[in-house]
Amino acid sequence: MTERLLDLSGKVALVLGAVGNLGTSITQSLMDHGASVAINYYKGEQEKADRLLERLDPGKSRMLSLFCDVNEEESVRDFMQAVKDRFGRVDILVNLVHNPEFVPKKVTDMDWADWRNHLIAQKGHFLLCKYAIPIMREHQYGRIIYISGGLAVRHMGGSAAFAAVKSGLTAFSKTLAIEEGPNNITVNIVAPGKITSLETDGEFSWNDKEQELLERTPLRRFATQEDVADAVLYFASPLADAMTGQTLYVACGEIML
Amino acid sequence: MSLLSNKTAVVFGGSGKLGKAIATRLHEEGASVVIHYHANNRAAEALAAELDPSGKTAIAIRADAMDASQVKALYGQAIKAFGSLDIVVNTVHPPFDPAFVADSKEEDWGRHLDALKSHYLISREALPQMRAQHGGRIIYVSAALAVRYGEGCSMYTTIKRGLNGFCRTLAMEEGKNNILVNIVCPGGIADAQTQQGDDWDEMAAEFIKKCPLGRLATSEEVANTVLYFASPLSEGITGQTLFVAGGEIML
Repeated sequence: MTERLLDLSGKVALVLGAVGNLGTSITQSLMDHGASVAINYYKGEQEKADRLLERLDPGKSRMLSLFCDVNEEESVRDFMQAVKDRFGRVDILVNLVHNPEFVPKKVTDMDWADWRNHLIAQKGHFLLCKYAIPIMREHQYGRIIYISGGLAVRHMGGSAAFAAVKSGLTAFSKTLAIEEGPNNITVNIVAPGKITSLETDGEFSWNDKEQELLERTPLRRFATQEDVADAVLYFASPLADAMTGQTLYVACGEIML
Repeated sequence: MSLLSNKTAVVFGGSGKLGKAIATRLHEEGASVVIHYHANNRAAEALAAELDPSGKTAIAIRADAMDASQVKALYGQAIKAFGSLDIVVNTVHPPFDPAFVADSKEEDWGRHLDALKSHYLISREALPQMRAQHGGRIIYVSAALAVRYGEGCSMYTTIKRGLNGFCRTLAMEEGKNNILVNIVCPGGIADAQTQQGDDWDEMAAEFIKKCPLGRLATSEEVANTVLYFASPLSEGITGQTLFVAGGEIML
């Protein structure tokens, strides 16, 4: 039974931002459940992407790795076309690209360039949806999953641009859920709080703020990459066929709305 | 491999249609299931026999969920039969006739307050065993009226909202014991037990217009999300609500 409820065989998934730790967990989980997966790499990431592909799909039968700059329209279009040529369809889109590193900055200390760095993430997600959806519509099936962050709803000083972009994408996702629902394309958000990784748990040295956060996190631990990947799997799988426009916070209880 | 192998689940309100879908799904995934009922022993016993005629992995137990000692006794029987208490799902809320506040009577609160108290007892009485096991899942099945409003439904909404607060508080308190508390909130359900009367089709059609997916969720799909919150897939998730509603509810 489980196999049917979590079965993604025959499905084609795109993971944008797959070469990072979290992206790798998500890619692995989708592969483990039978999906074919196309990942992208950006400048300087090709070697990492190749290694990932080599590890997860040595026979190169179910995985594809391609260059894609998600902020360039032509690059996104070419990526989608290449995936369609290779696998024939697109069913699942997981986007976890948020280009700029998060550096806390007060509004009065910001320049427009700081805002623009974050806004570009909206452009990337818009372009990915714009070019994936027509291919999804061909089979009247789609699962779009955006990886947001706790900062979309839990605000703190210094995060104005990041939070504005993430909550903007929440509105975008709900709107898209309404537009594409009739095509059986669902649009959902997975929003992790602080993530730790099982591998780094042992050697991580907590600073005071993290210790404080840990103490007010009900489960007394931070979510792992695997926890986040499992939430993505839920939204990608038949378990969540009736779910659209929803946000799931994977934060060990630290975020409750 | 099944998602709930070696787990014990208790489904309160297991004799209802939604309870049946949930008990069936959890059982299919390997859990041993206790089907709780209050009045409808025939439906509960028929379901238990359907799931496992040998009675080894599915049993029906009667309890008045308003009575702490009966809830406690039910858990005791479940643990005796299956060896643990891992998952508790509560779907109980008695039916009611909508009434405007102006037309309502004080005693109308009774059944709603009973639903509140029974969820409190169902949760409280499960905690000692779950704490001893250092883990458990409590899943409350709420309703769209926890976040929507409808004329004549003031009391129902009040209780559902109150239970949102209750479940989140419980999630905070018991997180350190690895007891996760989450809510599954159905919108309109296509095969709902409450569907009746000639105007049902018309009402459903109106409702479906509000669902981006162009359809209502089924009780099986509600059960699928209960399964998700009961399964290892949601180990890092507590204090959350998922709306199984074809997109009708987006918060």
